[in-house]
Order: sequence, then C-alpha cells, then structure tokens
Amino acid sequence: MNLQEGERALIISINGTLEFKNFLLSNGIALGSVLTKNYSPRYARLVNFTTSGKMLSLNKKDFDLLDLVKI
Amino acid sequence: MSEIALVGKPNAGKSSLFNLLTGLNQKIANYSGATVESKTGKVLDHELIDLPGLNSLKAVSADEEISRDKILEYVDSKSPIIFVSNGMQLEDNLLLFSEIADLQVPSLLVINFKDDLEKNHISINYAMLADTLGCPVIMMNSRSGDGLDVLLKAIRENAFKVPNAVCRSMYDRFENGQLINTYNSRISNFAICETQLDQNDFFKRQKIIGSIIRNSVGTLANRQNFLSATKKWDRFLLHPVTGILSFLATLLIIFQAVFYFAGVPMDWIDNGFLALGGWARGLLGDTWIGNMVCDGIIPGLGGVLIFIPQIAILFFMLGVLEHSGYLSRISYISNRLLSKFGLSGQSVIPLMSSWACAIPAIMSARVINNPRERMAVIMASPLMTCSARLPVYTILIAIMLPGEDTGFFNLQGLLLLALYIMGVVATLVMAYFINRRSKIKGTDLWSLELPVYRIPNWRNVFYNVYLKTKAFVIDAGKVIFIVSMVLWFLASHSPKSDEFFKEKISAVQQSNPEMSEDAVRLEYSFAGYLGKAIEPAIKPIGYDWKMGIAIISSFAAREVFVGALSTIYSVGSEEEDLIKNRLIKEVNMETGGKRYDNATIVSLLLFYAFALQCMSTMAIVRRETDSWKYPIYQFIIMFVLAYVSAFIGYRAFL
Repeated sequence: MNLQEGERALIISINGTLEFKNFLLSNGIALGSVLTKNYSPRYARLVNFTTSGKMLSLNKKDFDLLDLVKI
Repeated sequence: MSEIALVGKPNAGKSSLFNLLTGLNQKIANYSGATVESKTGKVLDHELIDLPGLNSLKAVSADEEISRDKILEYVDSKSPIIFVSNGMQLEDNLLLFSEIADLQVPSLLVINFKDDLEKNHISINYAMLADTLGCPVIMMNSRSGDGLDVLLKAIRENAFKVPNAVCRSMYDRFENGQLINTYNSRISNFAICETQLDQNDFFKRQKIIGSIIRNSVGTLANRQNFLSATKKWDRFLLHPVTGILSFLATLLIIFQAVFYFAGVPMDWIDNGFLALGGWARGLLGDTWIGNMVCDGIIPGLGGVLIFIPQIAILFFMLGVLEHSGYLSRISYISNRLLSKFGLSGQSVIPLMSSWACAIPAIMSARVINNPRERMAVIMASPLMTCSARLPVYTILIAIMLPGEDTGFFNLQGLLLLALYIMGVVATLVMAYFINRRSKIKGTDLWSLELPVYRIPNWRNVFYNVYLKTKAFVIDAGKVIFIVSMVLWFLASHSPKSDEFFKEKISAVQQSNPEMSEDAVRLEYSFAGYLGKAIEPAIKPIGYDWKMGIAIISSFAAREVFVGALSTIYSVGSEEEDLIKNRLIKEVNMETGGKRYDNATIVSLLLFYAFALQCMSTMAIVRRETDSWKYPIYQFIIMFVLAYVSAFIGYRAFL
C-alpha cells in the first residue's frame, strides 16, 4: 500500500519470517499498531514513521511486508 | 554493598542519570546505543550499574544480551532495578517495564525528560501510576538534575518494591500436580520462538499498558507538536540534495576548523616547549640527565602534545554531532551507499566514532544486529582516520603545504579532508571484501530510531572534550615518555670508541663540511645501527634510517612517530628549533635535495593512513572476536596495504 507522508495507517497483517515478526515485536510493533508515515526520501531505501511517540525507520523491503489500512 | 541496575530502552537518559548519581562521566549521546557495555559507579552505599539500552528482554544484539543477562541475575539475587523511561515515549517504554515487572524484581520507575512533558503540557498522575504499577514512580530531568533529591531519598530509604505482574500468569503450567511459572526460564532461553504466545503476550501487555496510560496520563496529542520541529528539520537534512550537501558541508567545516582554530594555541605550546627546553638546559647543563631531558623527553613530549588543540577541536565537533541527534540522520542518508558494501546505516555510528578512536568504535559495533556486518565493521574500522593519526598528518601536511593557512578555507584543511575521505573509502572496500569472504550467517533486519534534535548540553560536550583529551595526553604521554628516554639512550650511545669517532668526524667533515659532529654520532649510535638494519626494507618507499627508527618506535602506537622524530632530530642537531622547521631543513645526503620532499611525505601519509600501528586496537579486536586470528589477519592485511600504497605514492610523486 502506498502510504503518503503524514498519512496514518493501521497494521492489519504482517508477512515475512518468524524472525521478522519477533524483531517487530521487540520494537513495539505488532498487528493493530498505528503508524504515521514521515518524510522518507526514496534514495535511502528506508521508510520513516512515527509510532508510540518515537520515530522509527525500517528497510523499505521490510516495511512492505506490513499490510496497512489507512485510517 | 548491594547492587542497583539502571535499566531502560535505548536513549532514555540512563547514562545521564548514572553520571548525575555517581558523579562519574560515562559517555552520553543523543542516539540509541551510546552505551554498549555495563559501567559501574557508587551511589550512597550501593554499587550502581549502567546497562546498555534494550528494546525487549528478547535480546537481539550483543549489547542487549549483556543487559538481559544482568537483569536475569537479579531475579535470584533480588537486587533492585531503577527503570528509566523516556516520558515522551511512555507507552513504548512501559512495554519493556512490564516484561521486567513479570520477573518480580524490586523496582522503581523513573520518568525522564520531565521538562519535555511540561513544555508540551502532558501531565502524568504519577501517584496513580505508582499505585497501578505497584512500585514507586519518580519524575525527573536527568539533564538538569531536577528530581534527583527525590530519587536519592528513595534509594536511601530502599523504597524499591516488587511491581505488579502484568502477563506472568500466561506462563503458568501444571507439571506433576504443581503450578509452575515458566516466564523466567522462557526469557532465559529465548532461542525457542513461539510466535503465537509472543503475539498474545504482546497484545495483552499493549492492552494493559494502554489502559494504564489512559488513566494516568493527560492528553498525548501534544506529542505531535513536540516532533513537528524535528520533522521539519528532517525534510531538509534527509533530502537527497540538501541532506547530502549538508553532510558534506559538516565534514568540511569540521576539518577546516581543526586547522583554522588550532594554529594559535599550537604555536603557544610549541614555543612553550622550546622555552622549557632552554630553561631545563640552563638548569641541568650539559650533563647526561640534562641531555636526556632536553634532547629526549622534552622534544618527544612536545612533538605530540602540540596537537592537543587539534584533537580537542575534533572531539568537540564530534561531540556536537553526537548530542544534537544528527548522527542518526547520517545513518539514514548513508544507508543506501553502505548497502553496496554489505553494510547498513547501523554501521555509521561505530564508523564515525572511529574518527575519535577505533577502540570505542569497535566496541560500539555491538549494537549491530547482523553478525556478519559487525565483523566487517570490527575488521575495517581501524582504517578510518583516528585522532592518533592527526599529529602525523598535521605535521606532514604543514611541511608539504607551508604558509597555505590563509582564511578559514585553506589547502591544508582540504588535504586533511581528502585523507579522511581516503580512510572512509578504504574502510568501505575492506568491509566489502570481508562481507564477501565471511562465512558468518547474517541478517539484514534492523531499525533506526531518529531521536528528536536537541541543543547539545554544553557542559557535557566540553567535559567530554576535556576527558578525552586528558586520556589522549596521559595514554600517549606515558608511551612517548618511555619511548623518548629509550630512543635518547639508543641515539646518544654507541658501540664504537671515542677514537673511532675522532677519525670518522674528521674524515666526514673533510668530505662534507656541513655535516655536524652530532649527526655523525647519531649515525653510529645504537639507534643508527637499528635504523640502518631496516633501511633496505624501507628504502623502496622513500624512507631513510632515521624515519625507520621513528616507524619502529611507533609500531605500538602511531602517535609516537612525531615524538620519536623530535627526539632523533634533537639528538642529531645542535640547534634548538621547532620540529616542523627541523624536518623542513633536513637534507637528503644522497640527492642534496629536501629529505622531506613531496614524494616522501605522500608515502608517509599513505603508510600511516593504512598501517595498523595500535596495540590497543589489536587487543580490543581480540576481545570482541574472542580470537587472535582476526587481529593478526587485520595487522597483516593493513601492513601490506600500507607498504604497497606508500610504494606507489612515492614512485608517483618522485
């Protein structure tokens, strides 16, 4: 899903490996987490977003494993 | 004396609080992972341990494992924990707190960054929060010390309490008719993953923490305003054009400042040592102790201590980057470039820390999740230009480009920047090959937290500059003091008799009247013989036996090179002069030209850029890799690289 800067979304499913899911959990991200996309220029291949008051960045290919619904 | 541990998420302000409580000066910075090993200090009658930040008890990186293992020790010892949370990220921080609460260890919750909460009108009913969590809650600002008296009172009165369990009951099992709780053992053996249980555990914690936050904390909506200034700056500093230009401009300013602002204080130190030498000579006369002090120790120490202003400026600039939050932005903008070399943005902070010193940089590689990437950083980071190379570079640049210091932007600063960039390129290439050759299993999962921008705490920045510069002076000073005395002895004593020197001096002065008696004595000293023994090996790269002595002397620590040259040329000269002027005047006896011509200087710069002349670095690589194999490989690879590039550089400029 192509989320634009400033848009909020809810994580409705997480694809990927068990390792990835555990990694997200340790970062406080799981199904139902809400995130707001921040400025994320493409060249860096990182997606920056705000969740629970902190600004986190994930590799774009990892971020794309999250199924999101805009809210 | 009982132990107390400071626990919390990365960048929650644990080390600031540790410094406040103990009066020590543990490194603090505005990015995740500034602390990578536990540090100990004393508070009241207790031993206080500052643990590296961790995101979850399900530790991922090496530094998180240190914290998790220590916390698990506390389950048996019942030693108390001070949990430090970032008030602006309370729900996220309380998730970790709830994991620790389930271990049933006596705890106390510190909510840090009280000033940010107040500025953003976020109120916390900490009495209600304490009642719900089952342990004391203290509001603090670890930067200003606000709330410190309350915390000290709580420690003095041993107010720690075992908090209410949050999800512990999920791990109850009936075995052999007995109720057994498996939570602690499961945390200890996290390698076995049970995703469904992890998910359920997380959701339950999230739900309970969410409910606690709703009841105890005023509106969190204002938090958006708190982040909005940071987000505006990020649009500029992460931008593909302005972001990269800002980064390059930052580097340029750092290296220009190193030359521009250091010139005057360096002259003071240089002239101070000259005056000290003259004064000591007058006091001690032409005795052996006078010669050792005036020709050995004073020039040796002066040759290196002159670089204190440049090193202090470099530490100051790096400190500003660390405290402002900009270092994490450099991680962000360099991620794609680094990925081409098998690294990620996660490697940026360890690599940039190498500009100060490779030792803390190699240790800070513990924050890297990917074991293969961590090994590549450990092996390659000594190629980054550390502060010990600065004295060598500076003196050689000053000889190569004398009188170019006109204005803030000058050729000397540009050449220094070029050398630093060369170090970065060499590091990346080395990392690329190590990544390709490594058999270590890797993972490319990583997250980067971008902290809010903060105006640096100037007291901390300046105090860190003072501490690091002091460490440089003491560490380098001790080695240089000993090397200077040994070198002076070797350079002023000879296996030859006085008759030999009488004959030799008269013969040499007939053929070359400019050659002094001291120069002849130096050539036939123990040091002279040592230098001559290695001369065949170093002649192809443009060095004579005097440089050979300095290179051998600096094998344990590269900063000794300049001090060793100072001592050698002091012993071999009757004039009192600055080391730079001595090197400029030195004549190549074979060609009659300058001994320190451009070809030789380029060769020396390249040799010192690549050679691993630092015993401490080798020792720390052994410790981090648990094997001597890696530092030995590292030494050989870097030595070959240094020799070959010095050879090519020398031939190219001859």
